[in-house]
Amino acid sequence: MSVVPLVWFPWKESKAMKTVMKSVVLGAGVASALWLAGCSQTASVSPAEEFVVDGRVYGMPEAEVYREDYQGDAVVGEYVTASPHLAKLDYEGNKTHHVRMDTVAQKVEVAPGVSYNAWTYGGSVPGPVLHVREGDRVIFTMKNRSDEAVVVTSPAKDAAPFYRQLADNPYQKPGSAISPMPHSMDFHSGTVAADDKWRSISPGETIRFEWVANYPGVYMYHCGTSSVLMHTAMGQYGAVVVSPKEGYPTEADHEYVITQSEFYLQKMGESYIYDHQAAMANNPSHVTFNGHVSALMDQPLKASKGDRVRLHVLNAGPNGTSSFHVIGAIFDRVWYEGNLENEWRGMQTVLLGASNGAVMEFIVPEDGLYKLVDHEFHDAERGAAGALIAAPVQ
Amino acid sequence: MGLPTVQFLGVVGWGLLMAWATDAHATEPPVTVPEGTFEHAVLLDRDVQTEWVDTFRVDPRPVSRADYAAFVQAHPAWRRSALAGLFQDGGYLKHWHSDLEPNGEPDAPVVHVSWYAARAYCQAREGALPTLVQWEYLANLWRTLNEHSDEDYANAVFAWYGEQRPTALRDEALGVSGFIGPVNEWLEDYQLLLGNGDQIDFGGGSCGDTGRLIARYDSAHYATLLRYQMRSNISPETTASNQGFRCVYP
Repeated sequence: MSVVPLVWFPWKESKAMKTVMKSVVLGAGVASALWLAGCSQTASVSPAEEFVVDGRVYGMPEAEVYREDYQGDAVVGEYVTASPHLAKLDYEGNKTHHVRMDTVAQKVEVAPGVSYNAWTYGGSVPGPVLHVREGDRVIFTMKNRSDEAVVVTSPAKDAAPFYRQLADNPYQKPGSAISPMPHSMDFHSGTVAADDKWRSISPGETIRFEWVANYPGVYMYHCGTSSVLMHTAMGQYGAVVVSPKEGYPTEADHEYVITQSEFYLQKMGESYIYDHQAAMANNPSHVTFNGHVSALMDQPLKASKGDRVRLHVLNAGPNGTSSFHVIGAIFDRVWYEGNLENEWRGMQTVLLGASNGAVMEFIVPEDGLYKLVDHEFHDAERGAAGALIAAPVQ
Repeated sequence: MGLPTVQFLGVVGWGLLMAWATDAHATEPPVTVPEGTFEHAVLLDRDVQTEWVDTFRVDPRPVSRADYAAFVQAHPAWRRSALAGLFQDGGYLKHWHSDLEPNGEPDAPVVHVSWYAARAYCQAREGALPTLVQWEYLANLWRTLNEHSDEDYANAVFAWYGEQRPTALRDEALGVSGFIGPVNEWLEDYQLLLGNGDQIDFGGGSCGDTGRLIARYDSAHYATLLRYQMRSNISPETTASNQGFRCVYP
C-alpha cells in the first residue's frame, strides 16, 4: 500500500473494502474537509475506483463543489416528471442519466388560501419525480439558487416533462421567492459516503456527484442540512422510482406516483410560516398527497374497469406514518420498498414509516370512485386523501 | 483621482469621507455591552455550559451601505473591481452601481459581502467581527432586557429564515437593533465545530442529530440552533443577499 490514509475508520472496514483500500487515494486534507464539509465534519478518503459486490456498483468519485453562471431550467432530465406522473423508460438495458434539480425558494399553496415560502427542489413540493432502472447511473447536479428569484412557469423549449406537467396543472400556484440558506441533497437511492456527496452547499454554489441505482425501489430524496426536520418540513423532498432491471411480473395499465407528507404551518400576519412546536409535537396543520390537500381531488387519477393500477407510494414524513389504503380495492400485489423480493399479496393497507416506500397494485373492480386515504384518519382529515375515477374510456 | 470618483464624492458628499477620516465609528457611536455570564444554548463543548463575557462595545446596527462605501473609498483593494476571487464568490457588492456607489438606501445594511470583506472592514475600524459567544450573549441580553417571550423569539427567527421577514420585536433596553433580520451577520468564528474533549464530535455537523446538544428541546433553543447551523454551513466567500455584519470594539 503506497498511500497511508491519515484518517482511518476501522469500523468501516469490510472484506470488499480491504481490496479497494489498496487503490485508495487520500481525499481533501483534514483541515479543508473540516472547513468545507457541511453535512458532517469527518474527513473523507475517496476511493479512486469502483468495485462490484453481487452485481452492485460502489465507490463513486468524489463530489465536486464549484460555482457556475447558470441561469437555465432548475430541473433538467428526460425522465423527470411532476407528481403524479411517472416517465416511461423507453430504453433497453441501462443508461447514464444527467439530472439537475436546483434548490430554489418558492411560494407554494398547500391548501386553499394557505401558502408559504417553501424550500424546494425545482419549485414544487414534493420535488420532481425521477424514474430510472436498477443499474442505471445518475450524474446529478444541483445549484443552490435560494438567493435567486427562480421562475418555474416559463421553461426553455426542450425542458424536462416536469415543466409541461407543472404548467398543465399548477395546483400549488408557484411563485418565485428568495430565502438564502445552505442546502444539500441526500438520495436514499444512492449508496455513497454521505459526508462527501450529501454535503451542504452555500447559496450560489453547485454540487455534482454520481450514484448507481443499486436496488429497485421507491426512494425518498431530501435535504440533509441541519436542521433536517425544518428543511424537510419546509418542502425539500421528493421521490426516485427505481424500476427492477427484469421489470415487474405484471402488466400495469396505469402508473402513478403519490408522495405523502406533513406540513407544519402557522399563520403569521398575511402568510404562513413553519411551526416548530407543532413539528416537534407531530401535530401537522396539513397532511397531503403530492403537496396539496386537493391535489388528487381536483385532478383525480384515472383508470377503467378491469385495469391494473400500479401506485408508487412514498411517505416522506418528516414525522408520521401512513396507513395507505384504497377504499373499495385490495392490493393484489405489494412490493415493499419497491423490491420484488419483498412481495405481499392481498393487502388491505400498507404501513409506511417516514421515508418508506412501496409499489402497490390493485385491479379496478368496476366503474366508480375510489378514494385513496391514509387510514390513520387524523391524517386523512387533514388532507391525506385523494381519488381515482374509473369510467369507460370515452 | 479619476473622474468617476469625483462624481461619486459629489453625490455622496464630503461629509461621509470626512466622517471616515475623523471618526472611526461614523455617525452612531458603539454601544457598551455589560459584562456577564453567557449561558450556551448550544453546547459546542459539552463540558462548558456557561462562560464569562467581558464588557465590549458593539455597533448599534449592521454596517450600512454608506458606511461600506466610505470603507472601499479609503481602501481600494476592497473595491468590487479589485477584490480577488479568493475572497468572494463572484457576487461581491453585485448590485452596486459602480465600485463606489451603493444601490438602494444608503442607510440600509450592506449585503453581498464575504466574511473576508467583513473582517477587513472591522479591522480597518480598529475593531473585529463579533465572536459567536459575544453575538449570542448580546442576543440573549436583548431578549431578556426587552422581555421577549421564548415563543415570540422563536417565531421571529423562523419567520426570518423562511421569508426574510425582519422581526418587529421592540428594542428599548439596549439601543442595539437588527438581531433577527434584516441580515444574517458574519461572526469571527462562525463555524460549528463541536468538541468532545480534544476530539471533534462526529455527530457535530451531520444530519439531524445535533438536537442532542441543545440545552432544552423547546422552540427557542431550536431556533437558536437553527441559526448556529445555518451560519456554520456558509462558506466564507459567500456573498448572499441577506448576509451582512457589524463590528465590535474593545
